[in-house]
Amino acid sequence: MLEGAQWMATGEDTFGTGIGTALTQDDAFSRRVDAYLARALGLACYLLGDPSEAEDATQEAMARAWRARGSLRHPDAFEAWIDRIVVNTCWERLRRTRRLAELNLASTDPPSVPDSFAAVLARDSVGRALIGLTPEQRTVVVLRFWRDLSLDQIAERLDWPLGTVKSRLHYALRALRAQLERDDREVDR
Amino acid sequence: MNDADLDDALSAFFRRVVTPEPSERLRLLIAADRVEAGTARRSRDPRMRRFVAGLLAAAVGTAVELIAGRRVRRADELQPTNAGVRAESGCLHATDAPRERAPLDQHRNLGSDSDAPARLPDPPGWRPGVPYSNPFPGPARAGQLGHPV
Repeated sequence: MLEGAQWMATGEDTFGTGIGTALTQDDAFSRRVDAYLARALGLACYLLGDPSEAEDATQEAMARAWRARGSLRHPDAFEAWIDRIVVNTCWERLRRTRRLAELNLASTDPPSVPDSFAAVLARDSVGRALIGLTPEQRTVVVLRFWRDLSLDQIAERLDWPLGTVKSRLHYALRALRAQLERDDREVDR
Repeated sequence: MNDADLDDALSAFFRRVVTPEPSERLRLLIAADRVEAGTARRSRDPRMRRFVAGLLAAAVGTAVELIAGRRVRRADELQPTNAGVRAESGCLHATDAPRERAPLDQHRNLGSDSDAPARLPDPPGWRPGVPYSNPFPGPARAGQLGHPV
C-alpha cells in the first residue's frame, strides 16, 4: 500500500522538481473532497439539525481537512478520516452553541430562508426523536442507519471502542423507541 | 414497538428525508479557503525552511563549540593532586585523604596505565630532582609551599 500523499498522485512530475507532483496530489485531493461534499453536508445536517449551520460546519471541516491532508496515510481510510473531521467539527459547534444558549447569547432571529430540511425534521416524529438524542447517540444512529455502516466502521470513524459504540447505539435506540411510543399514544388520544 | 419495527422506521426515515445539496456558495467558499491556505503556505514555506535550517545550523554549531570548549577547559584544569603537599604543610582538610605519593618518574609517565593524574608540563629550565623556584618572590607566608607552619 502506498504511503503518505503518494496515493493521490495520478500524473507525473512534468517539471522534475516535485512541484508538479505536489500540484497533482492537491488536485486529486480536491476532487476527492468535492465528490464527498454532499455526504459531508448531509452528515452535518443530521448532526446539527440546521442546514445553514451545517454549511458553515462543512466549510470549516473541509478547510481543516485541506490543512491536514498530509496526515492522511492510506487511501482506503479517506472516508473514515474525513467523516471524523466532520463529526468533530459538528460536535465542537454543538458545544459552542450550548454554551451560548446557557449564556443567553444565542441568536433567536428566525432564519431568513425557509428551511425545508429543518421543517421535515420537526414534522416527522422520527426526526423529532432524533434531534432529542445526545450528539453522540445521534451520530451513532445516523452513521448506522443513514450511512449503513457496521459497528466496527463506526468505531473506527469515531475512534471509540466497539463496546462504547454498541452501548451508545443501544441507549439511543431505547430513547428513540420511548419517544416514538409517547408520540403514538398522543396521536391515539 | 420491537427492534425490527424501530429499525424499519429509522431506515424509512432516512430514505424519505432528502439532505440538501451543497450550494454553489459553499463550493466557492471551500475553493477560496484552499487558495488562501495554498498561498499562505507557498509564501511561507521557502523562507520558513531557510530560517529553520539556519537556526538549526547555528544551534548545532553552538552545541559543538560548547562541548569542545568544555573538554579543553577540563583538560586544562586537570593537575596532580596536592593533597599530600597540603598534608605535609599542615593544611590537611578533614575530608582530604592523604594520597600515597608516587615516585616522580611515575607522574611524569603521562598516558600510562597508572592512576596518577595528568600534570602540567615542567617549567623551562627545570631539572629533575631540583625543587621548583618560587615564581612569586616575596616574604613567604605560613602554609605556603616550602614554608614551615
